[in-house]
Amino acid sequence: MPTADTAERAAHLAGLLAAMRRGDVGLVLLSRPELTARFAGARRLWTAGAQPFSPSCAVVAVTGEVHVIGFNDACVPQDIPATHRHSTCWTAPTLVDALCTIPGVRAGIVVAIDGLTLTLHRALRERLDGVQLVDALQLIDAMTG
Amino acid sequence: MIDTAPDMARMRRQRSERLRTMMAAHDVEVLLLAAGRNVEYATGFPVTLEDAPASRRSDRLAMVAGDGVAWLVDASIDDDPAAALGAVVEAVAGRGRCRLGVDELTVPLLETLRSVRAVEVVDATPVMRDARIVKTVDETSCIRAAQRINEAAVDTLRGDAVPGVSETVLTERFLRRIVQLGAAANLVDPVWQSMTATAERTRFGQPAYPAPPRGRVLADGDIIWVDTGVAYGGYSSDLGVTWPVGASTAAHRDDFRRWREVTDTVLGAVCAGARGSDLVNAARAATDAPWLRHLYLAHGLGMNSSEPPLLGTTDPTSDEVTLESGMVLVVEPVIWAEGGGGYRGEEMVRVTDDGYEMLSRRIDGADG
Repeated sequence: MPTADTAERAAHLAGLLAAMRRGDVGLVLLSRPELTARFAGARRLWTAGAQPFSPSCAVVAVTGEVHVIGFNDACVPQDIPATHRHSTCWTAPTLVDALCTIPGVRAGIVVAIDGLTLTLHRALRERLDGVQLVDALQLIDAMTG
Repeated sequence: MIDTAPDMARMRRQRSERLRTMMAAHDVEVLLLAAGRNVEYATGFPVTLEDAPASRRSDRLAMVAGDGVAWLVDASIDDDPAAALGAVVEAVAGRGRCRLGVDELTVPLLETLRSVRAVEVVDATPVMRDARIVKTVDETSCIRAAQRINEAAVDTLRGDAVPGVSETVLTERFLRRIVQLGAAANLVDPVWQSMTATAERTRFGQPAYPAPPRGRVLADGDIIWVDTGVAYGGYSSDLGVTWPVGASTAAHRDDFRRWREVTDTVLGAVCAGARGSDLVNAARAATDAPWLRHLYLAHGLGMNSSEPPLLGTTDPTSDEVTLESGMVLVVEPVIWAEGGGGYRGEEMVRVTDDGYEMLSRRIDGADG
């Protein structure tokens, strides 16, 4: 899967952060491979299936930073620092625990997400008290530029 | 039995029976499935590679009623797929109390479903896991056919992995060969990673494997870890083996012998009724660090090339699975030797009441 180069990716990220500000969205969680490639530049290895081998990414409003959750540094652009790379999580609660270590992720936040299971939904509500979930696809579709 | 050609109609029928049984066991009346392979399992509608990354789009789904009848529901042409799907669910499930199982969905779809009267939205993951984790005889035939195509294709490339040949050329030849042999699709970007040339390490101090192919040219003395997978009849293969480029060394042959010992020890623990943790403990007793910690010791295989059960991940609760006859396991221990390249291979088995049956070829030599 082609990935956006650094300059193009920075432009996509700026557009997403602007949309997040307009919508009062504190955190965007993306797990669809094409969206992770667009905003984090991280590509998946496998051609098909096998979700664990597709990296996910988190975009945080207050810092403007992108974090990648994946199992392999080889698929992640070098400009994403080591502190912003998180190991693959095999369960929803451990994923949310990892997200909670990211500066700017806090209770009561509005989280835009591209898709989820009920287990992830429960883990987000339990670990981020008062979290409000909205659709990341609508947020991205509303981006200008 | 497993050597016979798959009977696709019987496979569909038996998958439907398994699904119905697991829906009843988990007290789920209706399923609404969006994950591509779950849709294919329930409806028989083949999921194209293009669909795979869109598995969470929630606009082409399967709906399954408790009597086993399955629909393919395409809401992608509607301006508001969530509302359209909500109306379908209300028509099918909204006549009385209904526990509706969902796998992956968008936030708007979840909110819509929760607003449908008398419908309780529950997680379908346990239903789908329990249905898919044990393979029918025809599913197993498809897996074995995929594996044979994969093995034949890799066999023809062994002599090509010589100094001066690039990963790109190996990939081109592999993809051409699997088409000639009858594969429906390629599933994994073929991995020909030189472990003597890979400098990146994980936080566990092990090599960052697998990495996407970068077109590197093979060099004399490379130890390459090969990983490939193809599809046949909707099912996957998985072939992992280690090749020395040029003459093998005594150290490499020793790594292989240790890998063979660990693998035989793990396979010796496989039988219906064993716990996943039995395999993990057997590997740990055989040697230190017997697999790549950022991955796992063993994984299930079926429609996905890696699916439950996953054994030896950093989540120990996943090891508490009890093996059942008919499960398919890929066992992939690793002997890592810093500076030497080590050995990694994968062997696929079907769990039986008294042990296992090989679905892949047994790896008998250090040259793969």
